[in-house]
Amino acid sequence: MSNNGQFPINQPIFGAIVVYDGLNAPVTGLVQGDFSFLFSNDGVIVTPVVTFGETGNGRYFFSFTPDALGEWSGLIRNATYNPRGWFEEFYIVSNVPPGAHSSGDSAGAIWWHTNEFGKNLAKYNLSVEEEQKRKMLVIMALIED
Amino acid sequence: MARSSQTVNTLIHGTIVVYNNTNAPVTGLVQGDFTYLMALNGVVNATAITLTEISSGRYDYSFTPTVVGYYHALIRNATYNPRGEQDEFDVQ
Repeated sequence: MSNNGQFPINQPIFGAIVVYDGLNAPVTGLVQGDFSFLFSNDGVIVTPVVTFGETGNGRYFFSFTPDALGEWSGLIRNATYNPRGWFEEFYIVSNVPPGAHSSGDSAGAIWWHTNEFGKNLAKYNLSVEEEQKRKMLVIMALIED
Repeated sequence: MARSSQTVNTLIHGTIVVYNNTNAPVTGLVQGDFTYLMALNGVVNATAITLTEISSGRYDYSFTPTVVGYYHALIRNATYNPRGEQDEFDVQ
């Protein structure tokens, strides 16, 4: 695996591993059951559905879809060829489109998003009593767009 | 090692995996079995790191950055990983 960094939530993440034997020859013909897949999200074990396949010459691909924000770790082990496994971390962030703004009635918050996933340009926390003010801010944001 | 953008005053998680010299996952380690070295913008920093076991040799560590900047975390286990595992975080 070589993927790392930040990825949007609810979007499939693809990764690749290459398996060699003790003589550095590519190992072909392995199937999903030959590997163990261990994932965690913010330190808690999770079990996402993993899609797995062989792409030839010892190469294998996998994908999974993170459904929660935070730090995900993925560890893929093959007891014979790589008992320590392939390990990587993925930081999952919001997939709100760049420049979008949104309001949350329950949380009473308005967010303005930048071009980078998960980064917020500004956040306004408003109490329920300030609903009118919140609506005004939304209108102002729409006008600015 | 993953470098990622994070938000100040928000809990950050990371994961490390520990093996012994026969490639078997090491379980049962606790906070005190590791040393934690943190730097902020290249200067030694005392931000506390909390470590808990996940399973199968995996350990979760977490900390809350209170200052914007570049954090470098290095976590060592003298027995199984004296070189340690490191991660970098851009906190904004």
